[in-house]
Amino acid sequence: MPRGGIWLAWFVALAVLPATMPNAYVQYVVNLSLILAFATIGLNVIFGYAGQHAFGFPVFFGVGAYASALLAIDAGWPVAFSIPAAALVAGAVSAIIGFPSFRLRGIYFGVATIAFSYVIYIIAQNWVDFTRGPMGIPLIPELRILPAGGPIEIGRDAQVRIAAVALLGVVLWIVSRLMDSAIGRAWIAIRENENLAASLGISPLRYQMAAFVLGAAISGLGGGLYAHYVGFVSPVELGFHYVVVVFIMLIAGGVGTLAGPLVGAVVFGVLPEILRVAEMARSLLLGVILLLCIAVVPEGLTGLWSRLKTLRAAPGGKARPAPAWTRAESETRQSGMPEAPLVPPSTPPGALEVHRVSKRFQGLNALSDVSFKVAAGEVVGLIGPNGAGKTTLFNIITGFLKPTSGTVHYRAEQISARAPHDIAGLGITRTYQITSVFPDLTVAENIRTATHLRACRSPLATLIRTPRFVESEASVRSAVDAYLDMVGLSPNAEVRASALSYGDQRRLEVAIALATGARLLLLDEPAAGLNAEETDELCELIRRMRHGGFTVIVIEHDMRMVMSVCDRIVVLNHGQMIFDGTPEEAAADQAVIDAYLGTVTDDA
Amino acid sequence: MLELAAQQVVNGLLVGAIYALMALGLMVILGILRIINMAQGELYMLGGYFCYLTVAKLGVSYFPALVVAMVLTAVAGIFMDRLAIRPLMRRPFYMVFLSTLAISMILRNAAELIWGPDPQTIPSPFSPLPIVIGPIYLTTQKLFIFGAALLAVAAFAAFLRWTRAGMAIRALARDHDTALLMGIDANRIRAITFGVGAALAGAAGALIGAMFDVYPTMGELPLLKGFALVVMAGMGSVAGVFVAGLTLGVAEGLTAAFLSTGYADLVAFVVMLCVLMVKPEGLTTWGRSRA
Repeated sequence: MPRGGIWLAWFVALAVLPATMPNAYVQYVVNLSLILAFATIGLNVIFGYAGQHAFGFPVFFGVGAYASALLAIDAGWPVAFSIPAAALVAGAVSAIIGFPSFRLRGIYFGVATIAFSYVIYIIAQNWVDFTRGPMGIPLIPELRILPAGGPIEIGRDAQVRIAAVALLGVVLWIVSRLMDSAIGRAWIAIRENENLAASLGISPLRYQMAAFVLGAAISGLGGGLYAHYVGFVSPVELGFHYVVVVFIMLIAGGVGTLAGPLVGAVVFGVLPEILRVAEMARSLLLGVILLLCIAVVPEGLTGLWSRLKTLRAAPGGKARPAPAWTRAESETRQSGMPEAPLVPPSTPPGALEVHRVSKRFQGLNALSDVSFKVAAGEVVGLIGPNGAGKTTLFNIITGFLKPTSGTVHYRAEQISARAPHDIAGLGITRTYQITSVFPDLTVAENIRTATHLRACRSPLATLIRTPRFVESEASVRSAVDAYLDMVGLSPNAEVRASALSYGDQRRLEVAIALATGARLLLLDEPAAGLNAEETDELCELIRRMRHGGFTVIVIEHDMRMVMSVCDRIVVLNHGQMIFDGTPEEAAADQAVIDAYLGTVTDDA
Repeated sequence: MLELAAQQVVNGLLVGAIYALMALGLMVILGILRIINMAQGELYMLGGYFCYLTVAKLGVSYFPALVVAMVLTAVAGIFMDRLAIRPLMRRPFYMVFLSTLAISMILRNAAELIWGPDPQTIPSPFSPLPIVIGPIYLTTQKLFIFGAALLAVAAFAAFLRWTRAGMAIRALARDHDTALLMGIDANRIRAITFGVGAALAGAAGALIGAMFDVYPTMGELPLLKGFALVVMAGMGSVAGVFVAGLTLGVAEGLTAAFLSTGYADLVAFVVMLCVLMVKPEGLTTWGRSRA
């Protein structure tokens, strides 16, 4: 049975099976769990997939509940309109909140979302004319999918359940389609390594916002269903209690998985109702359950399930390829870097001009008045002692730092005021001095993520799988294979990047950079830590890049490599450019020798 | 009108000093351990209850009871770290956050079960007679609370600046790995950090508890205000947090008097958002200030 069929069977079971239970209370509890699943799925989008610590996020469930209730009562909208509108309102509120919050990093972002959720709570408590204040909103009209007194009579619980299951199906379908596309890969990329994502052309802010708003809209949709099912909404639905319940459900189900949020909600949905028995100690027990979840099932029920499955399948099952370091050296090296053709990007190579760039860090002149040009198709070496400003210059060219003065032009376009992902979009990318990959993704997924700029289509095209989308995904697949082959990592395609040997991680970095389709590559000490053989392979690859029409700037301390691959060398010392010329001239230049190369003494 | 404003300014300074104590406790834990401690409000609550129990049940007088409350809260903080936070340090950061949230719920609910949900009054040694200075009514208690809070902040600043542990804390906050390479014992400093952070919260709870009573949910709002202050003032500046705390207290007092008491609680968050829009990194940071 195909995957879609299994899902369909589950949904039908969810919609139909509870009807066999005679107890109306059980039906009520099941319905509430299904409705809360929207909140967990929404939280999973921003928290599980995009990796943003939006701790106050479950408040959007309550926002949706209020929005739908007020639209139905005060504006007199039919319930069929007020529920989708609740999703829109929650999305809009989240956009207003998300924009300032995403200016913050890490912990501060989490604190800001908590603060915002509290602001919403206070407003609901105090704006009595609008929200009815602490007493809440009673008598909210019911949701009916069939008109009363029609030919088919279905109970109210069943009606809500069918509506909830159908909407859950739509929501999960949307989420799964997005996750299986460049959009989902971009979310995971910013979760795994935000800087690297930006240098692949992924705008962190845009994708964070998209996940935030989509997640809030999904939560708000659930809130709308809740309001019209329970018939009463109060500030309690905006409080910390719900935050905790929704987090327990998501963690217990499995963070960052498709089925996890639904499983968690259905399994733990009964929780608040069971705890009603011990009303006095309810939050104590919730706290204990949360601690237990963290301690016992950190990977969630779905994670536990797949662990059991692999245990069972292990003997004779489909073996995962062993990580590179477990295999014999000869085996991993046999492929070397084969002569696969470089896939030249469609754009012509471009020239770069650095004009009088200076960068000051609080009194330290990291770069002063540096100017040089790199012609299209040239390989330029950037050398100099440590602290000379080489990496700072890379950071300025790729937009991670703004120059204090001076400009950088690429293809006659000024790029020195642009964001890193914009610059990547123009066809400039880089590797990092400290190896930078997406550690928890497989090698193939790493490269697939790097194809973002050519693979990303509009959300609508992604959802309905337009022919162009299908075509671009197919071209991504073949490109991934080509790059894997080119850097000799095909045997390790399904290995997690963090399990690769150091040398293989550096090859992967180069493959990631090439897969962006960039025409100007900035390589920051690509040979650091490589052995002689690996360095030779790298030199060969850089030569092939030049023949393939790439422009390359390489920071490197390995002079043998610099001399053999570079057309021209730029030397920095204490932030000043002291030389610009051919490798032969550099080797003979007294200033370069004094500052960096040194002289060969007899005992050396 | 003006009298009311003056009175609100004075009351605001008092509340603001308490907020600042909360914020400093949060800041030191957040800055060094990178932990959003959601249970800080419950440490504040415990400070209040410890003080209440020492005075009302053991018959100790209020001033030594303050010290007892601080010490006991510090111990509670260290225990909390040891049992529910330190074991999770290799896990994703959100697990630690959720763990502190769970502790917060457990402590709050446990307090409700043990001591009941009703507010308890700490027997006060202060004279109820007001001191009248022009239009402003003060009590010796208010003066004492403000003075004690000021003293605690000053002691904390001195601790950070001049003691070896304080230096180690600042070093860890600024560059965690390098500090470890310098031979700083991370676990010892962790315990000290949690102890100091908890003691500040305990002092705040015991001071304000004597004026406004102690109850299980008393820590919720000060926690959120404390977070707003930390984000607003940024990391690292004791003076910055203190001044921001006083300013917030005054702004809330004036909002409550002239606009609405309900919305006074919004002031902290609105100001925080304005600061973030202008300066996302907060007003000061460990790196750039001298703690």
